[in-house]
Amino acid sequence: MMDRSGLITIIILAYLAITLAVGLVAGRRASRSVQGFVAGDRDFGLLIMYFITGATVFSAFAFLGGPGWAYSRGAAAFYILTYGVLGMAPWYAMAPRVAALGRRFGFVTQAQLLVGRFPSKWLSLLMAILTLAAFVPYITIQMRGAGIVMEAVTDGAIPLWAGAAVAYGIVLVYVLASGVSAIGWTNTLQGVFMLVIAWALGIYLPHRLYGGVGPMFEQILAERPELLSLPGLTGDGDPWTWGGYSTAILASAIGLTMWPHLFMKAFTARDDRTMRRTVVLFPTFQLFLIPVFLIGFAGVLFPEAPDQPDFILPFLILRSELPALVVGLFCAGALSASMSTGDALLHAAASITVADGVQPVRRLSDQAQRTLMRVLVVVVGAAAYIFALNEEFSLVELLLASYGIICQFMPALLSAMYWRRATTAGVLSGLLAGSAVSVFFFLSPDLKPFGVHEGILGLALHLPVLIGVSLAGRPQEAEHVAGYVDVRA
Amino acid sequence: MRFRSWIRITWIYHLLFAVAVTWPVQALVNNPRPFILGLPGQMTWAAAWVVGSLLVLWRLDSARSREAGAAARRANAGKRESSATDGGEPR
Repeated sequence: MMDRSGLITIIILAYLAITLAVGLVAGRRASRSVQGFVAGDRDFGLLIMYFITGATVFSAFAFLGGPGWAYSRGAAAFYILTYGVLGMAPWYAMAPRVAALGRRFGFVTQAQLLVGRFPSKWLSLLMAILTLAAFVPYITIQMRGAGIVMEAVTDGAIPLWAGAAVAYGIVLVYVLASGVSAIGWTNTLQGVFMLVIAWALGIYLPHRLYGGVGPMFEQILAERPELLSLPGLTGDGDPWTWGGYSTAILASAIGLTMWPHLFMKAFTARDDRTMRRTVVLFPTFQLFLIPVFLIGFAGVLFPEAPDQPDFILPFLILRSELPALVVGLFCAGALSASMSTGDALLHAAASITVADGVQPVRRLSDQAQRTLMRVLVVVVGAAAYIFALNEEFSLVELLLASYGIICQFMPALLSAMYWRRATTAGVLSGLLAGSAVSVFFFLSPDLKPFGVHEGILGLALHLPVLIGVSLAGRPQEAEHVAGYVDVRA
Repeated sequence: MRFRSWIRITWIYHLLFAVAVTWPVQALVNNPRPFILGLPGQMTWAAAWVVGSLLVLWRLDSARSREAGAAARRANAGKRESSATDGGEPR
């Protein structure tokens, strides 16, 4: 057992060392400006854009939560398979436009685009606060995911706090040193890693435990048929509602389109062609969820059960007598999933806080901005780390609430780019009304009609408020509006 | 086919996709059998829509590249620039 742990630890350390080296080397190419740190001098090719997007979307939630859902909630997990493409496809049209606006006005964040069209210090602050509130639980999940994997796979030799600290210590070093360039190259590495590991395990485990994928589902259908019937189960094992399942897809698709760290990627692409190709190829990444689900289903009829469904993947791996090499590689794959999302989020959280929370109130020099961003990367990382160590917080619930808030960004940003008649007052009041409704139904889930996701309920009030208040007020100057709505990509 | 038509097809396809994987259509497509490649029916259904999306987006993009290429050649020939760049569909 000692040899095994030793070998696994060596593989993990080797993987972390490679990631660190790649991250540091990448930064030496980028310029020492805010644009270089935040937008990578707008110079990412197709390969890197593809893996940045894929690796950022597939977080520890997909790698650990995906199998966990399939294992405990059965068919409910299929919603994750569908929403990604629905959320990504609109970017084919949106990305070139966002990029054109970014080049024209020098935007590097989502809120800058919004505030450019709807000038308001309050709107900028509101976006910064909502974004940060949505990010911290998301980063926390990634950190705890890294810690859990390290603790489980090394048999407690590396406890959660140390595992999370080591993994994110490395993330901090390369994000601080290289900014977004490091994220591009490390995500390429991590994306390749995740794909290979997921497919290998997704096919290996059903064969090892059941003699094949088909025989596995035959057995599940015979013994646990409720798991193979939509809309699947809730976390408590009760049947989920169709309203909940359907609106989870819609809210997640809208949320995915609007996540600020993904939105910002449109400012980093080399050209429009690269971005369009990234969108076109995105469904290939989505299919990677199939082996992820197979891993979870492989645990259903396993005689023992982990304490929490999210542990099913490391749990199975440790009990299937896999060679230490495979366990070590798995661990690195799971760390990839965690770190590749965590680094992008940390970087985006710091960039957004400076650009949208501080800059509109107090102008800073380029140099001061870069310094402050670096300080904030550490501060946000530390805050998320403290949450990660505290078992009291229900992170999945916090993340769901943040999706409800992120959904509210959609009408605002679409108005900024496509609707001439929208006004600052309309956007601001819509955003406030939608977020308030979303938070209200998050806090009182029993009041939700048909189990509909709170983000969708928020939009139901947001849209009429946005349209009503905008139409009641004076239209913006035509020339100003044309700069945003008539921009040619 | 022209880029404009592909924009429309892409739109319609993804709207159908959204309808197909939510209530009530998905409630009708809710039988794990037949297993295809060993996977339960609902999973294959979702995966098939994802693969379809890949094909539609790919055709859309190649139509765009073709028309952008043709527009560039026309512009080079001294003619007026064609407007075959962006559909600008909101979402």
